[in-house]
Amino acid sequence: MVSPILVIALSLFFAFVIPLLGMLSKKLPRWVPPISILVNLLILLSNMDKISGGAMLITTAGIKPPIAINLAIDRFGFLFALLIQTVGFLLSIYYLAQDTKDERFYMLFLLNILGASGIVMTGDLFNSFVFLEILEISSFGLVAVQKDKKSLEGAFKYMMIGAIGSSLYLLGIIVLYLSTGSLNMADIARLMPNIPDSIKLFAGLLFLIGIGVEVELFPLNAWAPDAYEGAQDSISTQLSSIISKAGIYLAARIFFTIFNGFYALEVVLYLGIITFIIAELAALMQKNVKRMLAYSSIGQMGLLLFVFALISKRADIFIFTTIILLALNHAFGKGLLFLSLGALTGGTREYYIDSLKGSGKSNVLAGLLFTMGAFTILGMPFFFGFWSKISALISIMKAGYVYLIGLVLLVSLFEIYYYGRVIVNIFSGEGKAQKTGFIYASIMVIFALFIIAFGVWPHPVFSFAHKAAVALFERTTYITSIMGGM
Amino acid sequence: MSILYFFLYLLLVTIVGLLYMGVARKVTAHVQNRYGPPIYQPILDVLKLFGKKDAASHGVMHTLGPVIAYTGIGATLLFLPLGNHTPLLHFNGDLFVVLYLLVVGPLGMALGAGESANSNATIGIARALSMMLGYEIIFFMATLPVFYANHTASIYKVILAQGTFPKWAAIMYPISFIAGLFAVQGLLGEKPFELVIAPHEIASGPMVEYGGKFLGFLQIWHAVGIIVETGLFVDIFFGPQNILWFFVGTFFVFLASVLVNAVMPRFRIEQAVRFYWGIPLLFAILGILQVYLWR
Amino acid sequence: MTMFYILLVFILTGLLTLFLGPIKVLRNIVALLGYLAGSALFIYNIKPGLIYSLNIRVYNIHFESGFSTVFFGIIILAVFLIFLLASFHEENDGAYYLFAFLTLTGAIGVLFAKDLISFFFLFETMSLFSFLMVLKGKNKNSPKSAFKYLVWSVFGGYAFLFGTFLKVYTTHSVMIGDISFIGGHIKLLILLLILTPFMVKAALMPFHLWAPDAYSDSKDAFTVFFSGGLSKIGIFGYFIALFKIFTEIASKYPWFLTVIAWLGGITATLAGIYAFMQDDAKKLLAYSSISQLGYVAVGFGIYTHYSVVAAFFHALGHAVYESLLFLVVAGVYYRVKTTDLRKMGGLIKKMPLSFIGLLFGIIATSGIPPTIGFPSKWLLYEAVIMKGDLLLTSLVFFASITAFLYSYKLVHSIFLGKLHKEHRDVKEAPLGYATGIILLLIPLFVLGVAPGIAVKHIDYIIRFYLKPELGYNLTTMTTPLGHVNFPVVGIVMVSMFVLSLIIYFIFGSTYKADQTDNYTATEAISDDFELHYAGEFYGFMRKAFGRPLKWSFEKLLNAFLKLFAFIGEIARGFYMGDARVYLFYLVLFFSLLAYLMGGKL
Repeated sequence: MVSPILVIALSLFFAFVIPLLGMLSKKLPRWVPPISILVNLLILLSNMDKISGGAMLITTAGIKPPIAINLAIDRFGFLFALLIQTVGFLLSIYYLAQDTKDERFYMLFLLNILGASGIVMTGDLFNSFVFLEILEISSFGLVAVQKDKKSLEGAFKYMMIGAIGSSLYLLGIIVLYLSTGSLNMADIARLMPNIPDSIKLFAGLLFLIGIGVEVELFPLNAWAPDAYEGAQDSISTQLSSIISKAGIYLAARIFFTIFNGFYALEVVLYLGIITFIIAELAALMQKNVKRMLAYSSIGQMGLLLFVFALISKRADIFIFTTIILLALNHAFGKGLLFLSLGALTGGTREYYIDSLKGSGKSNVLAGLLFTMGAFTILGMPFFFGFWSKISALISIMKAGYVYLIGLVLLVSLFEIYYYGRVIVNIFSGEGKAQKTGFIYASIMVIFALFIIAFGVWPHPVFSFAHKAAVALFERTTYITSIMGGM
Repeated sequence: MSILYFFLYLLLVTIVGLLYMGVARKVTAHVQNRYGPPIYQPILDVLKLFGKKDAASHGVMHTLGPVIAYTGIGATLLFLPLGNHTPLLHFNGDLFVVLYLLVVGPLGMALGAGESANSNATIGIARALSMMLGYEIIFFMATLPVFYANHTASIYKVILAQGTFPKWAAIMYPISFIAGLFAVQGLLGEKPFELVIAPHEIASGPMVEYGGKFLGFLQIWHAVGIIVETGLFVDIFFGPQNILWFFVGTFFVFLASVLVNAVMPRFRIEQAVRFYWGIPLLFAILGILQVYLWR
Repeated sequence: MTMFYILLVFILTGLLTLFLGPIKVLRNIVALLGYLAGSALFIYNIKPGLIYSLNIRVYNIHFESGFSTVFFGIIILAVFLIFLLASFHEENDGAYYLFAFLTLTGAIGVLFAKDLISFFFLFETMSLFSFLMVLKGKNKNSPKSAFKYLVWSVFGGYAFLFGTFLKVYTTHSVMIGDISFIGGHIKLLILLLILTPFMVKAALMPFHLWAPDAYSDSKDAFTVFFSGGLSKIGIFGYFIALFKIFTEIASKYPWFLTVIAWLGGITATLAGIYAFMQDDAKKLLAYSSISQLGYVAVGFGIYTHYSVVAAFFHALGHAVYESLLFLVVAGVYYRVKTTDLRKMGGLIKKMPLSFIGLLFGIIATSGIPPTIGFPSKWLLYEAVIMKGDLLLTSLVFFASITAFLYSYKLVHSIFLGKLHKEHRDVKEAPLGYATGIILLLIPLFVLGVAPGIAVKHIDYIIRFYLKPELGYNLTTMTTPLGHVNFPVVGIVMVSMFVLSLIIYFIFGSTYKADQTDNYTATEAISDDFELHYAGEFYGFMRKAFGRPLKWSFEKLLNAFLKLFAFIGEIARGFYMGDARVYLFYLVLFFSLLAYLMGGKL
């Protein structure tokens, strides 16, 4: 029963406290993110019951929308917030064990989580831009934290594209503001029918590019492999499990809730499948495993967006359930892959497939966890990925693109090929003996437990995802719950 | 009663087979301008071999090999009609039973020869088996049209279905018949397909370690084998004969084979197999096409 | 519900061995008990006609048991027992049993599945965990072979999934049911897609490429189950696809069946040829297994009551003798630590029981009466001739000749010939293997003499789909072409054998000669002189076959893969620029979209 606005306020507060604590002791700052995120999680969970049908509205300064800053959390946003905070919490625990001299790293990390949670909780379009900027800028910093050539290169590329993307995003907001006079998402959505088509098209295009960068849509995703490769393993996890998921949320909110599936979605439909195919093809021959995972990540996002855009062909709640399942699978599966890859390399940052030879034998746990991560991404039975993959295919079938299933499966075969190659490689030959720290190992195990537990018994996730999907699908309920009766 | 009958039957065929072998030696000798032994010589040989004491055995399988060989050929004989003479087990007289039983003998000998740890023996076996890829398939393909046309797989029914002289399968299906003749030469292991024994190369191959009663067994195995193999051919291609004419038929098929044997050199193994995959295979396939066209 | 419990028992057993079994003995006992519990449940409770559904929110799992479930279930469970017996002597750990039991779960579950999604789930489970089992492997090639196996089986699985979705889309039903009524040729595509994983599992050419490597590089005990048990799922799938899913295939697309039959014939022949060219016992057996499964495809392709009975019976026979052969080789490996045929020889005196097992194994493989291999081969020939395809008959016959070749090579190279020095102290294979051999010899003879026991059951499976034509009772079979009384064939052989033995004992006496007491053309041989003819046993056949022997599907496939790799490199090129290039993409993309939208703005 604590106001969720505290999630944002407290995170901000803690983020600013970190440098101060840093002056006192070098050890203290690393304890801040876990505490902060744990508190956030508790706040979110305490509000779980209050969120039902529509969105839960939290106003600031007692002013009702469309004016003033406010949060609007529906079940869809809540699910993403929970996902972001959970993964964030796990990573923050991981950072406890990490030996980082610079306390600013923890600040960036916390701000990153804050930005992502802000995006999925806000009901205000301009606010979402602000959070997006927070998210992006902290991400650039996080990617560059390694300070070697690769990470700087990745961060730089990410920054160039990201900055232009977000400025186009801002431009889109301005266009909408000019034609509706409102910044509140629900309000704009309500006024959407009144906007001329040409404005809609133009704004839609701007948003498409702004969000496209974030969700790694072809051809705006060229930064992604470099950034993923350059970043340290946990940051890559963060990129794929948190940052891109916030992007997905934003895409759903803007293209579906606000634009009501207008035009841009059709573009996403084609671009999504193209992204999927090109990324998987690119991964096929990639010898650098981390870069391969990055391509795979892009590919999965492409599939996710493709499935999401199917809503423009057929309005079905199931499609939304599917994208949630896909997002969850990708968040946990890819997160696990990046983390276990890090464990397999033993922190040497040697990601080439040959240098990984035998590492799965010397570090059995990491090898097994990597295998599990790969299996869930591949959609193998008894792993969560199976259900998300089947759901994706069912969605495609429901939308009437039954022959595309063949294409998707064919491309998935490439996935089998390159993941299989890595798995086989890490389990053959003899590698150097390494050990993984207890904390690191237990975090990976938690990721894996999610995948296995819900892979064996997906029922709870289904119901949860279904409810969230309903919240997203019932557009008018969202609008009326914020704007009052129409 | 029938057991006694069967003994006589087996004895008769064995003796006739041995006489055939004698004839073969005589004929070959005459072709080569020699005098040759009397035709009953093989019978004397066998009696002598069985009378010998102390045959060397290299182990249980080595001992059982010749025994199994004779078992196999004897069992085959029971299922084979000798002309229109009803075989003892004619209700089971099915081509495939006969073909598979026919393999038991060579298999037994192969196992026995293998245990002797003599490479010559094993090489002989390897050759024998490889040769089967040549002649056996041709033989099978040559006989198939006859069975197919008469819509049965029973040898006895095929014999009865053919009718007298002009209706013989040999005349109705001449192409298959020629293919079959090629196969019989290999089936009998005569030159140019005498690779299994090849005395100058591998010291009589599988037989190299066998002496005494083992060799005797192998001799009578071979004798019955001649009758069974040529008999199968005669049954399928020459229609219903009484038992006398049946033996005449087998004799002439065997004689033809022996005459070829007497004047031919020996193929190398891959040549032999390839030979069968050439013209005989063509004939066999044409024979099959013929039966399709006639139907 | 029982069906579900059976699967649960197997899964739990697997988990239990993983967590409870740091001690090998305990692990083995748990595995055996769990297996026994599960199979007891299966044997006593699974009758044809049970139905069970379980709702897991979006999907309903539908289970059903039929005659085919019982038939294949018993085969697979029986082979698994043999696997367990051999496993006791293998180097095993907790994960070993976990993977094995989950593979079993998948294999048994597939037999229950009534809807295609559950079928896919369980099928993939089986493929996945058998992949892990191969990955654990026995030598350094195992990971590579496992990878091949994974890619192939997932390829099959995905084809199946695509077919499933096409079926659901066109018929609005996810159940395993008829698709013959669909208009157009899409039903053929569905059938082909659904059939693909089974052709992969049953290693039908050209889908066999994974099999020789995966069979030979997996742990010896597992290969028994892999070849003897799991390939049966492929056969089961033929049945599902050709009888339950496309019931009117014979009248709508007869040529498709002909293609299957010919593929089966070609598989049987080519795999047979490859088999006798191998110098490794497990590779040889792997090809032999593929070859034998080719006959089954022929049976299904002919699609008459005779031929399908033959196919099922052959599948049963394959389970018995192929398991037996792999088991013996596993036992031999346990003692002499090699499967290289060139390094063994003369073991008959050291391992007589194994020799007997192998001997009757190869006799059955070759199809010689009175063993289990004969009835199916006999019936298959009759069926193919009745169908009128004489060339196919010839091809199949050629394939069965190759069986003699590789069989003899196997038995000679391991057990006959000269005993190697280092093998002088080798003992008989330990208890687990010995028990397995004896257990397998029983059905090998019983079903060879009285095939009616199994034929009756097979007839129940298929009499709903094909007019029952084959005349049979316990010991005989009758077709329009011929008739066989199997015990008579056996009795004749036995009595002839007795007669020959009598002749043998009447005359002369024998003495035991040493292996070195040999005719070697005046050359005296000592113990150091290892004169064992094993390597390149049929080397001369290389010359006979000539160039075509070097052709392979694998090379064709590799060329195809290179094409994909090339496309992949192009795609990767997109991500190889620097920031300016990426910005250029963005601008280009923006302009393009703006241009495309231009008309609407």
